[in-house]
Amino acid sequence: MPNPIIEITDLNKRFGAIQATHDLNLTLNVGEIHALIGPNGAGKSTLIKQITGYLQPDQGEIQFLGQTITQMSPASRARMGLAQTFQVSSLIMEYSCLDNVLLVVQARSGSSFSFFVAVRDDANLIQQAQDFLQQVGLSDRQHLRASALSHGERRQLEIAMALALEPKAFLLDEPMAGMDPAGVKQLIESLKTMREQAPILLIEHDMAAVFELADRITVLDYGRVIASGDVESIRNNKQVQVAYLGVAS
Amino acid sequence: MSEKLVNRSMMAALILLPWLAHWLDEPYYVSLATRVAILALAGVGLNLALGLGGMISFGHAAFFGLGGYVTGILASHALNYEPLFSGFIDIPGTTQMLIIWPLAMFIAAIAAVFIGLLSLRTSGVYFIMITLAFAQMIYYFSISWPTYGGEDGLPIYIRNGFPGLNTLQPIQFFMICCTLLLITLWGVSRLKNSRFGNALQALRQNETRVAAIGISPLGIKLTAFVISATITALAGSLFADLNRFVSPTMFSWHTSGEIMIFVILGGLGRLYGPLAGASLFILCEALLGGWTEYWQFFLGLLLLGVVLFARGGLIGLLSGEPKNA
Repeated sequence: MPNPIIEITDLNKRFGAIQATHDLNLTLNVGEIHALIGPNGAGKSTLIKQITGYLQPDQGEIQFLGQTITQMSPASRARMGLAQTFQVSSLIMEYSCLDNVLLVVQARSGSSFSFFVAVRDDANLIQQAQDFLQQVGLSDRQHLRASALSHGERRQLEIAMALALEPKAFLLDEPMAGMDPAGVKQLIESLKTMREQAPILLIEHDMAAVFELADRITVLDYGRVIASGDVESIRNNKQVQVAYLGVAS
Repeated sequence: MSEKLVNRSMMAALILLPWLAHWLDEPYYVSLATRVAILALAGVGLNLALGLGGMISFGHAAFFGLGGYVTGILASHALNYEPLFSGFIDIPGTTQMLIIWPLAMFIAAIAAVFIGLLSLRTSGVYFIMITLAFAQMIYYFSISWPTYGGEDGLPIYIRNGFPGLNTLQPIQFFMICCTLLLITLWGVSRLKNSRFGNALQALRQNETRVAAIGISPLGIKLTAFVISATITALAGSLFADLNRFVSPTMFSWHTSGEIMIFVILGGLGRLYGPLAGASLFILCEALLGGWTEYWQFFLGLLLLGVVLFARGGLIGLLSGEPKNA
């Protein structure tokens, strides 16, 4: 497996007068949780969208598994093993939980150009989908429509869908946003097992969670990296404390 | 009532009523039922794109008309003993349905690939407008092309043939149309539950999510659009044979609108929705049309009622929410 898994070099993205990504360099290494923090508008989501392919950078290169993916479509990147969860839950709302995960298992396990065999008759696919639901603790919700789930359950379903892709890297965009403390605690445990499978690039505002989970932290402000290092060095970094942690200089 | 029961009763009525009319020697009602079957088939085609895939095509008249014109052109060449192409070898026309159908579907498929590739890069209002624009382009082309009748249309003097059947007999032609409708419904029901159908229906709801798990939206949508077009083209071919006449009206946006009305009246995305919608449409036309020439006013009211109060259409009213998806 190539190391780093994701390597971003000299990335730039501008919206009019706003430089949302500014000469940005970032890596995601094998086995790590790399947290990306920064105030609102720092360009975190813009960066994620460029990694997943929903936005094209103006300049710079993104490599995934040693291959340049800057020009690839979001679907091709996902097929290579890039899994993401969305900042605002993005689910197939009229599908049941099971069907949401089943769709991912289907996408990973072969072509979607099969026209005559009923996908829900495939016991193997169903079994796999159920296993992923169980991992996030949604087994008893499997036949409920996604639209009927609570906010926290939707976040869990997003995680199950990311897991079902059996990816080479996870990009998690604020997975804990809006969850109650019990949910956050459960999710922290989930992330600890997920990192065994693939490294995680984690955008998160919950500082306690970030400090507990992250191996490395990168701080963004105005589209550029203002600090990067292990948990201790970030906690003690003066610049970070001013820009983000709200400590007066 | 379960949706299955509703579907089966409708199908039973569609098959049995024309036989009753046949025994009572009322060929008019047989041809009415044939129209229902053919228009339902056109609707089944559109329903695949619109109901399952969420592609609001306002240009399916293009495929309906192409099916009709392929039928008319092939038949007129055969009946006039003029080769379709002359050159190194002469290619004759034909009056065989079994040759005409695949050709009509093939031509429509080529058109659909072309139209789909250009229009599926857009969505919403732009998609509606581009599909409409293509259909209107073909409409005006057919009006101004004198070789095949131009504005006057093109008659088919003798209904095209099917091996072993006398297609001029209404009940036999009806059975052909009805069988094709049944086969197509069976095929679409399989497709709906397949991997392809699963991806297609997910795309309608959330394209970003589907792309994020590694399914390319364009490939799935284009394929669905093309299959949808070929089904509607087959209906167009049958429609030409039913009337023994093709005219540019088949390409006009009224036709696109009518096919869409069948789908919406019956219930978007419901397998038998187009059959319910087309039946209701023809019933309105036959019953109200005999009473007042403004029958479409009442159709409009009905459509308004369905859109406002019964989103699941007729099938939704009878059998409630769909079971899965």
